[in-house]
Amino acid sequence: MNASRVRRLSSRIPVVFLPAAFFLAINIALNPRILSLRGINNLALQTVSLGLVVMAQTLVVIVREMDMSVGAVVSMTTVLVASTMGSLHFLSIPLALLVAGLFGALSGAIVAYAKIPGIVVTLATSMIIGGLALVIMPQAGGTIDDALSDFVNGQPFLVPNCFLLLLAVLLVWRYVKGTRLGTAIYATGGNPFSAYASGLPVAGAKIAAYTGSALLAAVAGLVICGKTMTGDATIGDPYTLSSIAGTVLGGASFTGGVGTMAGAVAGALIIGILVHVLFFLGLSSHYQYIAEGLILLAAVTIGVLAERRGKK
Amino acid sequence: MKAGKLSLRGESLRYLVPYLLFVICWFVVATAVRGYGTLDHFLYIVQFAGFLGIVSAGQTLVIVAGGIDLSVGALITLSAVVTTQTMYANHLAFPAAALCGLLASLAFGVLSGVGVGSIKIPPLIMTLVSATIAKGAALLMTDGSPHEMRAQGFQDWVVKPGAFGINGILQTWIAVSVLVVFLMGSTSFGKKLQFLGSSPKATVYAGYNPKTLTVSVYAISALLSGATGILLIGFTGNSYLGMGDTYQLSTLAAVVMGGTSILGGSGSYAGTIAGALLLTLITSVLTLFSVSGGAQVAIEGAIILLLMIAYASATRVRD
Repeated sequence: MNASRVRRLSSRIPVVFLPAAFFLAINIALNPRILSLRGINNLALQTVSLGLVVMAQTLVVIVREMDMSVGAVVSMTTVLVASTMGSLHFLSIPLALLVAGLFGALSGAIVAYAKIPGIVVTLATSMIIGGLALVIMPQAGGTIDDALSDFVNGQPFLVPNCFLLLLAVLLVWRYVKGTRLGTAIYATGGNPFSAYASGLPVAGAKIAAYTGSALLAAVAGLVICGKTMTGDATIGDPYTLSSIAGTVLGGASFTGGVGTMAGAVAGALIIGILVHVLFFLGLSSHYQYIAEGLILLAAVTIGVLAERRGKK
Repeated sequence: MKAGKLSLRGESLRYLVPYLLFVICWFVVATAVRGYGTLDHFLYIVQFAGFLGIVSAGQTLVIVAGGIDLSVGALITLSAVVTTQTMYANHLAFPAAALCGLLASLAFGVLSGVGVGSIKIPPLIMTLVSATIAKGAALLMTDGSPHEMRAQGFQDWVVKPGAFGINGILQTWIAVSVLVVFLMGSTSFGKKLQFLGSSPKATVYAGYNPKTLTVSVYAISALLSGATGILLIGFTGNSYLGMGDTYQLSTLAAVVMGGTSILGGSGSYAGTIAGALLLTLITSVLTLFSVSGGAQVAIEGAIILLLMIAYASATRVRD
């Protein structure tokens, strides 16, 4: 059982990176400038925020739930930071992380203790979070310290700073995965009953997953803040859908227990590069919705069919 | 047998609660706010609740069948945009254009149904896919700038009091209500939906085809969304992108308020009707006190969350 899961995991990762490499090759062929330092930094900026929300979604999908509030948390973070940075300066960053973490913990606690499906709980909390973000800032605006945008856009050691951010998240996850909590997270998604019977904290795993998801979404919000220099209560909306698409592309399974953060990054990379390719092919931005819908449809269809074949 | 009867009474009580809440809210509002509480005002609320009520009928059917439809908002917009665009660009007469709008919406409903029923894609993701593609299609059709509609006869029917002194919205809602309540309560289709929602496997063993059931339930939901889109352009006179968006989460709120289990398997449209009325009343009061759009959404979300927790704990106590 365990050995087969390990094999399944290891066989999934390369499959995910293959299309990523393929699309990257197309992209480089279309636009060689992407290989310049500046080009890499641009791609990094676009992919890192996406990568963070995909990781956020993947974390929740591993415990066999879903998080529909990812986009709302991104918006809320940009709004909180942009509206408080003028007076609080860098204290507004921990403030935004704290607020996001509390909302995540609330969603997780309701899912774990009231035993309501996470999809509908987070749909409701996304209404609350997104609505409050609109109350705080009805129109996009506010101020962002230059230092934040300098950090997010910076590239002092050749590697873009935001890539380092992603790397830091991956390292933290690597550590968490080895702890009892990490085991509980995977076991809860794989089979909640046996996880519970083994004395693992099933409720704790769900709360931790939702809290972690909200924190990751908040970090994505910070990166977006640094990029756009404003707070915007609707900027996160499209990220919920992209996070789901990236999660599926990254090889996580909606039946739970399966998924890696490296896969999540690859999934985000595919979407990021695909959007780039569409842009360079000269398709109007009006096609973006259709393209994203089709990518998601293709990704889930392949995922579901592969899983069915694996079962047989 | 006795236990069955008891739980049945519990069930119907659950659908009575939203009506009771509506009556209480009604009296509170009627005594607190001048101009509220008259018969005219009641009729206004009921007629305005029609839009939400009609879309929520589809959402109720889908949720009872164990799914969830996140495409209703996008399909309202799509059918409205297709109707006005085909009238404007292809010079179709209103009935033909409206038919195009309905068919466009239906196509996406069938797509969702096939994805959920045959490929077994989780309903949430599949309807999100349909919603995204439908949104893109509407955007492409309008090229970002939608048009007005001129169909005086239809617009008059929608807005002005007609038979029995009620307008077209309410006439349609009453017709939909009668049909859906009959469909869910007195036909084998309604029974099959409940089977499908509580255990898809049992549906197969009982000899029903879960695929056709799934496709038809998403198709019905899409048709009802499409009809709402067309009623909305009759009401406002034009279509615009995102016009259906506010209805997406409100339908879930109405269904949950109406006592339908979000887990599927049990529910009634009678409850959803009360949910739609209650939600419309609350929204109208919030608008009156000029509570901003964001705060309204947040309050609606909080209401859904609290009701879900209340219902979930009530169900657990009964178990």
